[in-house]
Formats: sequence, structure tokens, C-alpha cells
Amino acid sequence: MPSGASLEETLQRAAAGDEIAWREIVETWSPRVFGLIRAQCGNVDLAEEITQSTFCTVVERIGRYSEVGRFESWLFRIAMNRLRDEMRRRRRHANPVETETLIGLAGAADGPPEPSPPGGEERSALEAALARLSESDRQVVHLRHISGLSFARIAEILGEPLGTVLARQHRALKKLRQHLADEH
Amino acid sequence: MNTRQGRWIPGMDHFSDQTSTEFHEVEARLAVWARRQPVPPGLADRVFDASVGLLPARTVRRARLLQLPPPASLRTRISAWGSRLALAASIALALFIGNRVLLPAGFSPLLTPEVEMVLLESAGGPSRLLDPRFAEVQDILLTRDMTFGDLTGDLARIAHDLEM
Repeated sequence: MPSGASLEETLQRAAAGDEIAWREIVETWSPRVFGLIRAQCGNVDLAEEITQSTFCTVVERIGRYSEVGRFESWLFRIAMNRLRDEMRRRRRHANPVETETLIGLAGAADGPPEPSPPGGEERSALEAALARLSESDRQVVHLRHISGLSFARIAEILGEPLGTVLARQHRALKKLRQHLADEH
Repeated sequence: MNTRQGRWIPGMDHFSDQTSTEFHEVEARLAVWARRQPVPPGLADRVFDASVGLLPARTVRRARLLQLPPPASLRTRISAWGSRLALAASIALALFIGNRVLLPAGFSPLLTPEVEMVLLESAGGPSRLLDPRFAEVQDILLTRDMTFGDLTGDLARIAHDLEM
């Protein structure tokens, strides 16, 4: 990951049309953006679509980017807004489905179980515990642990006071520990 | 929430970015889980390909490319240049024929004169201002083995003394 000063230089080069600089930015940040969005929505295809859309928006506005030292916040805020817009759009266009249809679809999806990846059991326990958190608490955990952001950056992205973010993180970890203990 | 690590400390305007050891185990599990999050192969390449065309300078370059004429007008331009080339070649050929063939053969008066008027000065008679294409002027030039190329300036003077 580029350090502070070199990140700004890389951004300036990209803003001047340097494709190598832009590739460096994409390679550094796209896995983290993807990871965050995938964790939030649980859909690989949608996560990739939103990641691409996010970087298209960033490159279109990179010439006007002026918030020196806040690229991370800017990037992840765009990604989170994209995800929120998409989820709203999907909810708006969602059609009510009959219960029988849902049962049928669930039955059709019941194929042979996929082989578990290494550490799959551990992961599913953690994911189950994460799923029990409130959306706002889970969001902080994702931003912190998947995107690797500092609390200050998370506060900027969410537009929340730093104390609120810290309190959420504390609450989320406490609940996670409790949920994981309940599993055993 | 008053430990020094990772949480808000009342009365302090800064905080540590480390969480407390209280959640060390949970955080370690989260770190492992985060590292194992799968990223689709070629993700960065696809993101790059989707976005690189929108880089500012490339946009300018693309706009310049769009200003290039489409094939039809390109053909028109080539055709226009071809016509100009053909015209230039024709003029060069005409000049060559004029200088190397017609002039030695005494056809020089047929060429368009560069002078606008000729002042015909007659010894013992009135001077006359004539158009160089006037037959009399051409006759005088022929008898003196002169061409229009020998006449210079806007107003050429010819001492006309046929009597001599």
C-alpha cells in the first residue's frame, strides 16, 4: 500500500493521465473495497460490480480530488454510497414472492454440499456471530477488519463522531465474543 | 471505557488506534477471517480495464482522435490533394513547354505578359500607352526578338522607331 506522501504523488500522476499510477491505485485498493462490499452484501457479483463502479467514479473525479490525506475515506465513502444506492434500488424493484415459490427455490438450491475450504467451520461460526450483530455494529467491524481502516477514517466515512465509532466497535466485539462463546 | 488502549479517554483529545487486550482473541479470529476473504482472480485487471478509459488525459486524447475526419472526408481530402497535385504538374508541364518549346519557336507573345501597360515611345511622334496584348505591341516585340519576359515593371517602355 502506498504510504501517505507517495499515495498523493501517485494520485497526482493518475490525475495527469498516468496509467501505471492508476493501475497501482487499483491493485492496492480494489481488493479492500471488494472485500468490504462483499462482506456487507454477501454477493460476489454485486461486490465486483460496485467495486468497478466505485473506481470509475473515482477516476472521473480524480482531477478534482483535493482532500489531501483523505483518499481512503473518499474511496470507501463512494463505495458505501454505491452499495446503499444499489440496495435501495433492489428493494424498490423487489416483487413480492409467494411462500411456495420461496420453498421451491430453497429446495432447488439444495444440491450436494460444497466442500468446505480450510478453516470453513471456524469461518462459518464467526460469520454466524457477525450476522447476529446490528447492521451499524457490523459495518464498523467490516470497515475496521476487512478494509483495515483506522477509527478516525471510519468516523469520516460514516459521518459519525469518533466516540460513537469506538463505542460501536467495543459493543460489537463484546457481542461477538459472547456469541462465539455461546457456540461452544 | 477509560483504559488507555483503544477507547475514548475522557479529558483526552486523542485516542489509541489499538483496541484493548480484552478482545484480543476475538480480534485475532477476525484478522484470520479477513485474510481468508476470497478475492476473485483478475479482479484488479477487470477494475483497471473498466476505469482506465476514463483517466483525464486519455479522455483528451480520445477527444482528439474523435476530431480526425471519418473515412469519407479523408477520401475527399486525398482527392483534393490529388487534384492540386495534378494542377501543379499541369502548370509545370505548361511552363516547361512554354519555355523550352514555344519561346524558342517565337511564340513568346502568346504568353500572358506580367506588365500591365506598355508605353510606346515613337521617335518624332506622340507616345502611346498600350495594352501589352495589343497586336501592335506583339509585332514590335517579335521584330526586336524580344519576349514579354524582357519587359519589367508595371509600365514598360519601348522605344519604337520602325524607321530605324
